[in-house]
Amino acid sequence: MHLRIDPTRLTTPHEAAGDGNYDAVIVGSGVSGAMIAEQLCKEGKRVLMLEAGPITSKSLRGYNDYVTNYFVSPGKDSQAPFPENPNAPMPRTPLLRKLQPGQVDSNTYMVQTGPYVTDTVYSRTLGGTTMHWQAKTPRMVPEDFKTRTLYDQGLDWPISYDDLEPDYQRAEREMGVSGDVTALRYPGGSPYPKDYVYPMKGMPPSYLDQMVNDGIEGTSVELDGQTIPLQVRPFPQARNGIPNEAYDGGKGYTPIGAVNTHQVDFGERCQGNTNCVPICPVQAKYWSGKTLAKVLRMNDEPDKGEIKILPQAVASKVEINPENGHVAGIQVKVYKNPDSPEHETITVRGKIYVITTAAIETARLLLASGLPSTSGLVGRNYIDHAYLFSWGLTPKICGAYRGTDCISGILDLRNGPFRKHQAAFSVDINNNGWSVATSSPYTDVTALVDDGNLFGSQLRRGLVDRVSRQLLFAFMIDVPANESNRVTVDPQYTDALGNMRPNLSFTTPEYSMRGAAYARQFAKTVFSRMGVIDYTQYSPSNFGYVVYEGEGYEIHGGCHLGGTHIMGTNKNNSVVDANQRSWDHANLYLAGGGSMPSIGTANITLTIAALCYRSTRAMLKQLSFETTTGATIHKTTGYHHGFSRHCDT
Amino acid sequence: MNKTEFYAKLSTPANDPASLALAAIQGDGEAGTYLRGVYDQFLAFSVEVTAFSRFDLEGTGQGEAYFATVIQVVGYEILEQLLDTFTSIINQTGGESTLVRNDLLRRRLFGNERLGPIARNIVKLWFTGNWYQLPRNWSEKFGPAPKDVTFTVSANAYVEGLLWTTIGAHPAGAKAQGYGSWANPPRIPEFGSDAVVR
Ligand SMILES: Cc1cc2nc3c(=O)[nH]c(=O)nc-3n(C[C@H](O)[C@H](O)[C@H](O)COP(=O)(O)OP(=O)(O)OC[C@H]3O[C@@H](n4cnc5c(N)ncnc54)[C@H](O)[C@@H]3O)c2cc1C
Ligand code: SF4
Repeated sequence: MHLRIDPTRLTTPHEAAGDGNYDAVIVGSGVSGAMIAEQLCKEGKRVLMLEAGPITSKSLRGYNDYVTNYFVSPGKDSQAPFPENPNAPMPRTPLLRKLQPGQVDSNTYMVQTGPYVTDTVYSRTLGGTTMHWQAKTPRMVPEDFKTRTLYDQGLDWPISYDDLEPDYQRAEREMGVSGDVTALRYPGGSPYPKDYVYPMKGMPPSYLDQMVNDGIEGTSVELDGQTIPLQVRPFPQARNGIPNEAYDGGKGYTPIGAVNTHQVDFGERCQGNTNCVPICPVQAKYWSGKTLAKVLRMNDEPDKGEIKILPQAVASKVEINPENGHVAGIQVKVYKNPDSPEHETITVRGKIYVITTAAIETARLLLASGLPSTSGLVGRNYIDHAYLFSWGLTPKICGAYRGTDCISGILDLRNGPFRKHQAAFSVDINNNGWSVATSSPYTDVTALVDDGNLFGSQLRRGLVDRVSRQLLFAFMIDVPANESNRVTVDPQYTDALGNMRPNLSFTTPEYSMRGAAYARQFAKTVFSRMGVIDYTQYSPSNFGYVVYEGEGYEIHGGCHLGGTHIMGTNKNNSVVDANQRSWDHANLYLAGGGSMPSIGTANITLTIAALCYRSTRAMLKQLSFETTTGATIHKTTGYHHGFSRHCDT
Repeated sequence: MNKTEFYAKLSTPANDPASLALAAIQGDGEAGTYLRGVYDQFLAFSVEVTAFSRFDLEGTGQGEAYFATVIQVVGYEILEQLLDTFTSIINQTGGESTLVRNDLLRRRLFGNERLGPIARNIVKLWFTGNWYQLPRNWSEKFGPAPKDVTFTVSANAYVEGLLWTTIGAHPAGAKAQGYGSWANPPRIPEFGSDAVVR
């Protein structure tokens, strides 16, 4: 399949502003924007999609340019493929520095007001953050939806795992998840329906995974009086494996591609490029372009709706009709050239508005727009996973730097009664050595050559010894919602277009630090069972350095942005309802991780995607209701330019 | 193009250094012969310090680009001095063991204040495709070299980094080993303890 964005699908500022006939204006082209567009267009709706960044990745050439940018970047940080764009900037890790108490760091796009500095990132470009996500797609566990009730921590969801289960299945289909359900059925895990299989078969565990499993299988740990048996289990992941013929009651599954139709160029089977973050060179990994390609194809089908995409269009202000609180339009700054702040400002209108710019940007936009909020919770309860790394050398060569970035992990500590006292975590076994912690293997080469004074065969032997034995556990630790972790805006910090930048203030709560401290102990235990030499070192000068109970840790951001517009049971305790519809603005949906009141120990995107299906049903219902009773709404608002045009014709 | 012209052209930003070097090395006349000789020494040195054969090094297609990179950043005089030192060590230690040769390489080349950092950078170029900024004290003493910043020579240079071959892996994002290959142990290529020196 081809993500050929036909020029007729791209709209101009003039056309977009003049067209009042959109059913929905969707802000953002990430997985949330794409999946919602797909569901709406499938039902015949007209969609305008605004994308702040350039649409470079729409063609194979543009996509490959991103890959090349990464190759020629000596630092190889996770944003390396994506060029600087002052008009729609994104956070970048290499610029971070440690904050002293009371300090604010405004040197990077995301102003860090402390006390902790986070290296969390997201991308602002066509495809959003799925361009460089790792594509692990675990489900949350049922207990994650009610942590307040069960553990007295964080916040409960207004819906349960069972409510979301069918939508998990839809999301898994759309993303083409590879996974082995049998390996994931264990006490405390996510329950799957009987006979359920993933669209594709599970990825074979790496040689390193097998080595870790050999070291721990049949052993257990004691926690809070509970004996927890250990085992390595492969994660489900949104990358092409071998389609499972048993899927969908025996109908099987056909993978979808995105930017080209050539077998070598589009959505191939994962080859083990070990580069899932920041960009998969062969599109084996799901990214939202795959869903957009489907939407674009619908344009040619008579009974389907249509999409218009307005690129380089930064939603800058949500305009409200003061009479009824409905959104009246979105002000957009459209620029021609990323290097110049020159832009024109237009207002676009639709019947409903869907903001899918991910938790930090969505809160930023709402706050910058000065929208009234009954609960006062916009921007509050920012959630992200806290990551802690532990690394060492295996006794034998483990073959690091091969396979997907991560295939398997230890999942047995994701759930349990201990969650009353300390945060749960999931453990990734990274196949890319120590790279995330130490910038290996480059730092190994420089260390062996410059400090080890090695060259020739001694250097080769040194590299094998030092690099091929690298094991790293990445602990992804639960961080419950907390109102003081929040996104704000401040007029003194703006970007090139004059849009206020997000300010983030974040602390890893003690509950999560207890989890982190246990994680470190856990790593030591597993290392001792495997005979791994521990090389873990946390540097006090690292921006994420935290001292907890006398021990120092480096806490990293998880890029799993949640909680800035949480869903809840009423307008006083939440920003959106269980369908991600704003309590205060009836034609506004805020879709994405920001709606999640807790994220447990699941990488969040599958849940975000599942929620999109739920929300789109509500949107379609609202649209059909408004079409039948439209005249009344039209009369009362007078603001709904787009809507009135629709009724008139 | 004579030697001086070639070196001058290399410092013109618009020219592609790798193709210039290739053309110069393959050129006719005295300059061509001369540069071929220098490049030959460069490869011989590279074989010695990487423990990869000349066949492997040429197979990366990066030799000319690295040769040009070194000249661009620190100038040809220093490279020629380095290569002459290397050649004299080799001549001196003709029949001796690696141990003896390595001792001399350390004392006279890697341990030389001016040449050592350049020698190490050539090793790092081959293994990673990156030129690493030289230590500050080097620049203070022997610099300044305006082009001396850390950079990746090219996308291909990254992909051809010998590091990946050394460990039986592949550069992240390229030369993938195939679906499921990761389930097996890595195949780490054999290498002799003595590098092949011509
Ligand atoms: C390194 C990394 C690894 C990750 N690994 C995983 C993983 O393994 N598993 C997992 O589940 N999740 C992972 N994630 C998280 C995952 O990428 C995100 O959860 C997901 O992509 C979010 O999708 P989204 O559509 O909600 O938002 P995004 O993908 O962030 O999309 C937002 C879109 O809105 C656009 N936009 C922003 N502001 C504006 C504006 N003002 N006007 C117009 N458009 C705007 C952006 O350009 C972008 O297109 C990872 C993230 C990172 C960074
Ligand atoms: S391992 Fe490679 S081919 Fe597979 S998804 Fe990751 S980058 Fe793509």
